Amino acid sequence: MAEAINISWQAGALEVVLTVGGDGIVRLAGIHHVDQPKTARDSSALFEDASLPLTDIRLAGEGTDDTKSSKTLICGLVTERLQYQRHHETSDSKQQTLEVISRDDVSGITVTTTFIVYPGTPALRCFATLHNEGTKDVILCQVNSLVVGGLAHGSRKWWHDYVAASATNT
Amino acid sequence: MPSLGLDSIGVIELNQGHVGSHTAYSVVNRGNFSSGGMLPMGMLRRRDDKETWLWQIENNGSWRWEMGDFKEDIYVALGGPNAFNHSWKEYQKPGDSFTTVPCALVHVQGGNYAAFAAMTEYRRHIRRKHKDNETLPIIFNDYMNCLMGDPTEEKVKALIQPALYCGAEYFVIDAGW
Repeated sequence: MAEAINISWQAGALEVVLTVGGDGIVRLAGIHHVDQPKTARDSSALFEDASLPLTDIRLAGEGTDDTKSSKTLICGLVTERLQYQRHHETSDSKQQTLEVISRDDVSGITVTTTFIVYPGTPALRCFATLHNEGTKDVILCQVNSLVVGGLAHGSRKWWHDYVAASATNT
Repeated sequence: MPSLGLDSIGVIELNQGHVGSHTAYSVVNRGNFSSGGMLPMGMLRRRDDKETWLWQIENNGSWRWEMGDFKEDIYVALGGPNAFNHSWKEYQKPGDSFTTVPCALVHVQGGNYAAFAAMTEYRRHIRRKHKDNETLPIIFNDYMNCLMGDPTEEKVKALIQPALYCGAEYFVIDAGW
């Protein structure tokens, strides 16, 4: 197992922190507004870290592990094989961009996660691009634009401290 | 959260290697009426308004977002169509590539007003530049709320003069989706 590394990306009003775990998987560890105090993770949390891989991918014939269930969008088997390759930042007057590239040696796919931040704007835009660099055909069944875990910072009463909302449109 | 089926049921304390429940709460829309019923947006706000997450999926087709528990915490997953909800599959030969729809996530130390202010600022950045936004012409466009989804040539023609009288510079004949 390799050492875990952190990637801290300063973009506009945001600091985005990614971790590359000892398992080679890139996870989104934090999104902070640079002018606001960071929310500390609850020290009494049962788990030190609840971050998740940047995207989740399912291919035909390769579903999920036994952590959640196939009805959810996370814990895909292919996702757990994605190994960090490299990342690079670019910027111009209109936007700052961070690309993170991972690869699954079994299927031969590479996944590029692209983050975009606009000047002075505390919002993170994100999408994923998958390339079949292998020698076999693959059938995509799910590719998420973004997955973020640990939204409640380890709050022991996450189910009580937070309120979810959706927007109806008639 | 408990009313959505997201709760801590004590499975972690069994100490049998569990990292969460098997459930999740998802909001899904299928087809190209992408804002019909539900908007492709969601929010997670701390009850004391000290923190808010706000997200959107930017697609004029099918989408799904999902919130669930993982390691005694909350995650969100955002995306376009998938096989489970939308019978979506994408065949990729060697050398092919596929890009997902974009999404956006806002995280603020504040309540929903602060979150929507940030999202609005972002939306102004991603909106394409067009002279319409500079000249702001007055457009008459009805399909649902005047013609009630039943336009005929006679009904549409009858609206042209009233629209002109009201100051409209453009008259749109809308055929719905």
